[in-house]
Amino acid sequence: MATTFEALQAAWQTCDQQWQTQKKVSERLIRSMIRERSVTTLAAMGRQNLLLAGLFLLYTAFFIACIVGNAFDYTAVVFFIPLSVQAVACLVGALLLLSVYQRIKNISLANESLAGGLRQAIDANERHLKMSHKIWWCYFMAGAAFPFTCLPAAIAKRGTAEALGYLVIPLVIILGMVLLAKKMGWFKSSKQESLKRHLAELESHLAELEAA
Amino acid sequence: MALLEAEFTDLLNQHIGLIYKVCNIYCADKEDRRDLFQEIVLQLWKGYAGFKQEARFSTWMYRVALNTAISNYRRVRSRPRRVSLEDAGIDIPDPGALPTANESVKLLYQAIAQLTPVEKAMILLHLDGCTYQEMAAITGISNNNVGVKLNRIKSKLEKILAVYGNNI
Repeated sequence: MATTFEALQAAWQTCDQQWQTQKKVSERLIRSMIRERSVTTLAAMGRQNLLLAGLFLLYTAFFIACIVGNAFDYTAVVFFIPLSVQAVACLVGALLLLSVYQRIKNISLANESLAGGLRQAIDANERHLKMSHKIWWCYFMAGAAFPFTCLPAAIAKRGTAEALGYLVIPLVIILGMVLLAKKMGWFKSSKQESLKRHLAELESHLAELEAA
Repeated sequence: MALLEAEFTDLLNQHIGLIYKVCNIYCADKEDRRDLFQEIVLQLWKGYAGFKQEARFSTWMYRVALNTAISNYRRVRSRPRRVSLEDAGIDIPDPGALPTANESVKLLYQAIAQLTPVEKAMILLHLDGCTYQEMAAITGISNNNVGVKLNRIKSKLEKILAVYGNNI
């Protein structure tokens, strides 16, 4: 049997035509492939939304427990505002994710409504991205205000200067770091990036379908 | 859409053998071959709208198919849902199952399996009769480097073949 490269190359050429005579691909098969891939993408998006919703519900329960049990020994109702805002932001975030999950779950990717289904999924997720940005800022501002709710008790216990040192200086440092991180683009979460990738993939499928 | 799809399918089928060969070279497992086949077809379809007639369709097809095969090889990923190729009547046979295949061809495929993904791409293009210029265009390597790399790969392959030859 031939084992030199040239001899084997000749054998390769004899097989070449055989590959070409294998079963051909039909338009219908290509369409099915696109549909199946879109279903996978939608399922991944749905799972991600459900997991995030679960996490936000856990945060909500934590903040509610802090409020109900008065974990920080607040003496006035006004001090509960930051925790309440955080609880509400988490709850709204979870409900939003659940509604997106439900909408995606209800999308039918049957052949005749593939483009329509993809458009619905893209719309639902884009709306979610915009809303989640607003919710994140509410949550962040409430979180930044939280240390001030402990200030009166700290002043009474340690005196004004020391209390300010304990609360305001770390707060300024944290805010500075957050602003720096934002400027450096470190807040781009991998989840959001992956959602954007999913959206880009769906949009490319949609563009293929809508291309005349 | 239908016109584009028909045109694409027609062009794809003119060079379908290329995909079968890439699948066979990059995947030993039958299921993996089917997955790769679908991935290549999808990537080709995705890129077809942007395909400029500057390059020959087969050159572009080689580039997409090899890029997909190599990146698929490098990436560990969960399997997305796939169409059943069996139901569609498509099978990706082993090279040995082809009517004209002899022991030499089987041996060549076994030897190629020992190469790295990039080496596999280069040798496939060479065996398929691509010119150095085409190989450079497909792989992104300079014309001069193609010759050097190819010689290295060929001598590596010959060493592997010699070992196989001694064992037969």
